[in-house]
Amino acid sequence: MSEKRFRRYARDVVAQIQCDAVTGRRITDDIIEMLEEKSAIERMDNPVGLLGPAAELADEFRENLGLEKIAALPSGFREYKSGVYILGLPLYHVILGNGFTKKGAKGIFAFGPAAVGIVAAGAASVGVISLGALSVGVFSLGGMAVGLLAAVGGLAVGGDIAVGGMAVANSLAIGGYAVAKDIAIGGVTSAKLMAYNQSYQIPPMLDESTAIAFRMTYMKDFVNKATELFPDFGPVKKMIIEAVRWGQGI
Amino acid sequence: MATVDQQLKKGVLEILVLCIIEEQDVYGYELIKTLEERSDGYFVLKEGSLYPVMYRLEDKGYIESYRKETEGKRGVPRKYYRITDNGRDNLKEILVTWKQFRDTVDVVLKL
Repeated sequence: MSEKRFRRYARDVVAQIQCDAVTGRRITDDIIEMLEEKSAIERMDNPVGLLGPAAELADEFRENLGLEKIAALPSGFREYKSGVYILGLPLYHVILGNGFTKKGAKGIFAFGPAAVGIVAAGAASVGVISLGALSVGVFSLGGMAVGLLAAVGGLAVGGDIAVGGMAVANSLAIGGYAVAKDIAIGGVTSAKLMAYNQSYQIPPMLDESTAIAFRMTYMKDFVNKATELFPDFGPVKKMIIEAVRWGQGI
Repeated sequence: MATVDQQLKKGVLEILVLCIIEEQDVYGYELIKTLEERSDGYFVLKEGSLYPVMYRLEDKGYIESYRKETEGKRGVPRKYYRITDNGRDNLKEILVTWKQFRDTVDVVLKL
């Protein structure tokens, strides 16, 4: 039991030191060993009681290792950073707290009020896979999502695919208001090929003879037309269209 | 900002640690206690100060660590530090420099 507590404490300290992986392992082992020694002598297994708060010990290590002082977070915020670095980024960087802080989480997996990473989640996030109130990425999901390939959200702008309350995409848009160059499916739509519930608009660059609109009740015909007009549509987009048709029960 | 006292302590820590390890192999906790006892409580070393010094000394090749089985409570072998030949040579040089430094400072300060 105490071994687990000691290891957790040591990892907490190392996460706050933010050093390289080798030094991190060295420190973890030494802290655990010191805790075991002190615990046996002082008959106590509370790591904070034995070595003090993790943040204080981390500060002391940083100072004596000659590492730069980390920009302080406002009170009420906590930070966790992995000692393992990949491509110069920590495996994970998490900033927790209420409200907003200028300091952003940056890591392979980043989570915080502002987060940047391969997988980033936060109020504002930027990442390959990005989730958040405001998210920008290759694949984005959020209140307002901008995705280089795909976006899903209240307002979704996708390079290829967008799904959301208002969806704008180059290839396929699905939503309450859906706008696309190729295919749009939704309440109000605008695209070369459309399946609509309420109304549609012919895109300004097309004339009525080149734009085709189907009511949602004719989804089967819409899908056949989509296959005919866009034979090169990838399997993912085909699957999404089929899923919409299936969702409509048609 | 560190006080003069803290800066002076930090400056001599490597010498003191090397000196203690030269006398006998020690483990981390033992080193802290030895330093505290010998200095009459003047040097109360915390882990965040001790280990970075040990890492520097190890990286320079002045000390090395090894594991040794211990009797009693602990199930895992304890990590001990011992001085290397390189460390012993270095300590000799440091002590000469230290005496020179101390004498010079005392002369300047008229102590």
